[in-house]
Amino acid sequence: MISNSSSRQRQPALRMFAIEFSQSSLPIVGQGEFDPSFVVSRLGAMTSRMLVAGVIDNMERRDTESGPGYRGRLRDSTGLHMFDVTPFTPELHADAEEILARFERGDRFLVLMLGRSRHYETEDGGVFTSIRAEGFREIDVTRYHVWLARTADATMRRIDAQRKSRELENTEISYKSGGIPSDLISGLLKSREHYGDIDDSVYEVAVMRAISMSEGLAPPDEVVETSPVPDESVSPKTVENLEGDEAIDKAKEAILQCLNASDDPVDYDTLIRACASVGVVRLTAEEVIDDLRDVQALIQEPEFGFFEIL
Amino acid sequence: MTDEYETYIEQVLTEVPDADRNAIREEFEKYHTQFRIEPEDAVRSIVKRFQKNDSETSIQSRMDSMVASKKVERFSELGSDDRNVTIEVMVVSYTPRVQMVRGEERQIAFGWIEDLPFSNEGSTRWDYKDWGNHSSNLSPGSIVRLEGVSVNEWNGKRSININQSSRVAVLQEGNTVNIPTSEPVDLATAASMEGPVTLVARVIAARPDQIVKKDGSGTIDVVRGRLADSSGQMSFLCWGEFNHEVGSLLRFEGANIRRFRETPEVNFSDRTKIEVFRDASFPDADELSSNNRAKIEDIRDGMRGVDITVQVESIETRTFVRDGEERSLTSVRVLDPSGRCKMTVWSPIEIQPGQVVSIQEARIRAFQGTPDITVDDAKQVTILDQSPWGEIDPESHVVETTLGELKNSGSRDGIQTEGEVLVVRDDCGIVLRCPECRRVLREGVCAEHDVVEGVEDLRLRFVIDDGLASANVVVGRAASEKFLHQDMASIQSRINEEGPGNFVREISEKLFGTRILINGRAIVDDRGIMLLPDSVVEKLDDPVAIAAKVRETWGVVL
Repeated sequence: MISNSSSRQRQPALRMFAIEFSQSSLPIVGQGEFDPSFVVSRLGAMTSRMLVAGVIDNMERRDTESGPGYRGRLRDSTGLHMFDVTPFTPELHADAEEILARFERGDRFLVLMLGRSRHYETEDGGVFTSIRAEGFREIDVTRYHVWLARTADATMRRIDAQRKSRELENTEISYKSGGIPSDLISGLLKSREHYGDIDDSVYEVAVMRAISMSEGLAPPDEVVETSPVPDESVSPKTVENLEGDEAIDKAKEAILQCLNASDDPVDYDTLIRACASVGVVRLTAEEVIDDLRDVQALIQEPEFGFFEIL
Repeated sequence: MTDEYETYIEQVLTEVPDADRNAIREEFEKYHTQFRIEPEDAVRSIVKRFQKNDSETSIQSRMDSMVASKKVERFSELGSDDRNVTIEVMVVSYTPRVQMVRGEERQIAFGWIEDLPFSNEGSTRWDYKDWGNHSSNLSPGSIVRLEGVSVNEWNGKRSININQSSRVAVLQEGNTVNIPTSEPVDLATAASMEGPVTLVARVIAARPDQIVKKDGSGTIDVVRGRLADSSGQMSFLCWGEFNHEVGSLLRFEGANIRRFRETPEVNFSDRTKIEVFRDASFPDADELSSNNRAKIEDIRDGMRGVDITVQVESIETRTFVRDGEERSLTSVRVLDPSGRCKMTVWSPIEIQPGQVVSIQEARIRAFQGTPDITVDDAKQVTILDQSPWGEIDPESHVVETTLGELKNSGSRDGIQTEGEVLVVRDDCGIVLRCPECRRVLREGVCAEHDVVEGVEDLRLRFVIDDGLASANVVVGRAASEKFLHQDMASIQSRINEEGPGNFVREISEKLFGTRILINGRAIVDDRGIMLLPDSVVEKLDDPVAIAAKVRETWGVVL
């Protein structure tokens, strides 16, 4: 009875990073006419509606059998969301058209998006996730950082519950008495059954990066480095350290040059070293990489820790 | 019987002449009451349903007469649409209930049955409903053969329907010694249940009462009271005699938990076995009644016998004449550390703002969705010399809560909560209200008072969400004007010039994704949370502060 009444309630919009949603492969399709459908993430989030944010990475018009629509990609600090503006939401088309025009002009900007989770299954059983947009708007960097921080909070809450659940028997009663929040119980039960034991460190790294971005700091090191390894050819000490806008411009130039020179994605440390060689300190270099990727969207990170020109 | 559905039923009958009139009416009622779809919008789906059903039912009924009865041993062998089933079961419980079926009072019953009654193997327990008044053959503990019963599936849960045409053959009379007595549960657990239950609890209040039958055919003598254990308290209602004193510790087997409004209540009938229970370590009546004082956040519509301490904020008394006698009604705004609410006292009372009062045996009734404390006699109210929590300043008193917490609590006043605006509804702006009842007019017509001269009003409607729950927000005129920094007249003239679309679009563009802070009242029911704010303000978030909080909360080390 309880589940029946709550299924008619509006589903909350989960704050979720792209990496958590894109790695989800467990759809649950509602049976009844009014039952919502969910995509269950590895961290046990029952995702029906979500609030995501990031930079528009791609946008194109699509003609479908039902009429014109749009398809795009939204990139946050952890990965990519695919999204659709369907023909059934004509009220969003004017805004989508504006985003498209700006994107085609080369404008890059941050967007906050509300949407429903969708999935499709390939013939060989793979599951892909995407978002059906319900609303969106451009946001400034401060709001993006607020979203990052709140999403880090929501993700950490799920990581925490997931870790607790590992110590518990996989039953509702044991989760309840083990202090798992009630909204996560059913998703975690399903997640554990479907995904088995998962490695949550990738989500924790996502949280750490998001937090340091919202605090205006550079992301933490993935690899703990001892003092910068001196390069044989260039000794950083011979170059005078630069500051302010000059350093930022120099770093940008060095990073883009470095990426242009390579056909394959270039790893993080190489970029940092490239910046160091022209006199830009690590902190500034890291900020510039983030800015190029998340705000200006000139570069992308196809694989964690590796970058290429977008 | 003519009613609002009649014309639509005719429409369906023109399309599907063979359809059953009552069945169509039921369908319209279902759409109307359960799905909230008006008859005119439901017609097409209902026609479709009966066109489809038409062929199926006629085949079904023919098949029914032909299909031989399906005889099974276990419930697991049954399909969701099996009819004419024969199975042997043990009756675990039998709870009669009067239910309104198509406007008629019918005696039905529900309970549990278990398959494999003669086997030592693990048997399965299913719910059943008795529609055919087979009470004499279904006493708990007996083993019976059910013939011609059907399987009912609702919400993925299967149960057995024992119909009027079903036969119940008793194979072994109920022998109470053999009944596996169910383990008693504590009252906190019982509060989340519905149906038969075994309890051990102490009686902390009992008084005779009468229930007046709604059809005017007389009264029923009952006893009402409260039970308590260390986990909590619950009201009880005993249909018949109750010969136990306040303070007795009793074991109740075959009691029933039912819900009155939002409040669970234990019901005893002559089928409930009540016996004195001995347990020297069980808390005594004084202890149980004292450590169970309610807080404002705990009260729910329909509660009785509530003991609560509150601080008086303001008092308003009015007198009225009923049955030729002048009476007084005092409406008091009260608060405690967990929130605020209203208290209605139905007799003259001398109290002052700022005083802290203790109330015994209050009733809780909801007015416009918010539970209020109802006091029938001023004697129930005691003025305290000292406040248990120090003085609360009513001006600044709000209780901060999250939408996630509100979702699992009851309706509350005096709260503060926040979330991001995710939807701005199209019907924001100027509305016309009925001067009589304040309902919003639809095309100049009030649902209650027909065509009336509407009164203009301003309201905003949106949905806020904090990631754990969402709430519908309805902002009234005063709070809207303050929030938008515009008065109703200027909004009105803008809408007159530009149409309502621009106004809504502008608010939507401004508010989408904006975090807002709301002070006011929350109504929580099975449709979710509705917030009625006294004030709405935009919350300017500092990402650095939130991030720092996240690190602190979860111990994230960068």
